[in-house]
Amino acid sequence: MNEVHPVLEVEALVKSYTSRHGAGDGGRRNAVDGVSLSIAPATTLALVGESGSGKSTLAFCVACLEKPTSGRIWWNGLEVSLLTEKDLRPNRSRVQMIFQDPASAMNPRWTASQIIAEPLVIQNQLTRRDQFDQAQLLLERVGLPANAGSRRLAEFSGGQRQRIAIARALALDSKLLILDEALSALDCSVQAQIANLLLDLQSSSGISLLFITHDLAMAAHLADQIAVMDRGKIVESGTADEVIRHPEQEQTRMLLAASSCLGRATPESRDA
Amino acid sequence: MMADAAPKSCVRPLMPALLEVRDLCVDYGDRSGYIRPALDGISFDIQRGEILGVLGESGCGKSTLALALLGLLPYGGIVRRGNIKFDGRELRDRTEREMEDVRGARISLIFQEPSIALHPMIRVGEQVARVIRAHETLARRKRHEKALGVLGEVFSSESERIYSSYPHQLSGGQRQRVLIAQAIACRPALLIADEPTASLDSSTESEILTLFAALQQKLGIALILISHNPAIISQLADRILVLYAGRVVEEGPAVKALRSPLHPYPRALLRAIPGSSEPALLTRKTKLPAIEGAPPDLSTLNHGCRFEPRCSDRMPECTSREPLPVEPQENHKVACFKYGG
Repeated sequence: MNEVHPVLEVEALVKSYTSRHGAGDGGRRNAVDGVSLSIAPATTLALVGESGSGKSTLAFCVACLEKPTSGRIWWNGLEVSLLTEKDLRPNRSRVQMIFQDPASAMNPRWTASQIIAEPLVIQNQLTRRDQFDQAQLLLERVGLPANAGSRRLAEFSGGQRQRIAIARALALDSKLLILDEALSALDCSVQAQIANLLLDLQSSSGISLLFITHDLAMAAHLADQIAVMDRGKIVESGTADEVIRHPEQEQTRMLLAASSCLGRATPESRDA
Repeated sequence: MMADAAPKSCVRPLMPALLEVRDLCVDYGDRSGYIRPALDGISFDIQRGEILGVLGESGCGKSTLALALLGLLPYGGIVRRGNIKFDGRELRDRTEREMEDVRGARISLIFQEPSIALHPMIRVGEQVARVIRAHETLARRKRHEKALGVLGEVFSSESERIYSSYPHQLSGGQRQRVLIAQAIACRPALLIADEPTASLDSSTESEILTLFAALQQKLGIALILISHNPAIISQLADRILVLYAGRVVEEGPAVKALRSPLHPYPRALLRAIPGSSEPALLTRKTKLPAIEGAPPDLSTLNHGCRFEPRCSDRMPECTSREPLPVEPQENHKVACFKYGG
């Protein structure tokens, strides 16, 4: 293979959990049940599904934060599912994750600059001075005011915290950002601001996004490809166009109908 | 319900409103004497059985409004001015003891986070029964029968299993239903739901909204539905109130005010949502018309309109003073100079 490797490739991924109160099937349940997908450089894959469909478990597995039960994972052609933790660590910077509640993954007593520079400190890159300068550049890149660096977490709004999380994820020049419901807790107006920031970053730096959401309208807006997940399996996938225009599965139609914006924000249906 | 909901708000009611709020102003202060206004001159009515949607982004005062109506403002919060008349009687004159009889019995509040609002170590049926015990004198057995009956109203099946479950054994949607059961157990006249679907996924969200619609119709409960999401409000509300930076900027019939809002703020808010004006696929990978900036800090306000710094339709007079509400269309009020404010 001498063509460009996909940023992420997953083959037949299974993650099962054993529950103590497991019913019937010996207490084992496949949270992710044979999922294969791939993401090309500078593109966005939206993973859509209801809570409990296995989206987050899949995200944790592809980010190597959980060990899959079986299946293979490649980051830029490197098969990370074979690596030991020690060999994996220098490569971890390639894939970064952003959560719905960014504050839960940040030290509240640190300043924004410290939070953003942390990956640089961990990877032991640059001098102290350059780490700080780099953090300052990242702050500006995600649209935070220049003086934000010296402020602490409590002084930032939800949208600004999400910007800090994005800045931190960008600190190491990663190739893939996994956004696990990263917009869901934000106001509609702030969602639009962060969505614009993601589009900007993608066009300027060619980063790929795995955008996990239950909001099919936002998925349709941001993604090149959409995959619909239900009970651990990908039940439908394709280009955003195909999936939205010609949904084949009941699950997709249901998500479309429930999606917050496609046809619902305009209350035409109300006075029918 | 949907079909006959719209005209209801257009008819001037003969009965006095269930809730009349006039010029409500709420401040938060801290020990150092720093005062930050949160609500400034809020006035609205809600009729019996009506669903009022309150729309606004975080920090605009939505939750403060809910808490102020029930006299539950946290430490430091005070109602500086205004009247809250419920069922013909001023709520602000009531003592704390009298308010306890109102809360949960006449006006109920549903919080956003069902996992925090429930006690983790008590079976949920018992938690519903305790609301009943606080307001009604019933024998233990009757009380529990009643609690089970109320759970039956919000769960289509399995209410007995739910009754004896602990919160951690239930899903987010089920916990939210338990909170709704607690809220309606004593048949209140008014229910206030503060972002009731914030933590739920979209299909559970529509189930909960359908439940609200059914309860409103069956029990005639008036509902104040607070949300930052116009899509949620559009599904239920008869009338909407748009808050921005502690003031009402628009008030009108929900269908009209959400389809063609008058004030620049809700107009911009709707435009920022993918798929709201044209299908999300057509605007794919293009910049969303987001409202730049953030709501103002209410402790350092200028003289002019509060939305002026972010407004795309601003005019010279916008910085001169705050616009007053005007009624350019019947029952549809707006506070903006474009309409004469």
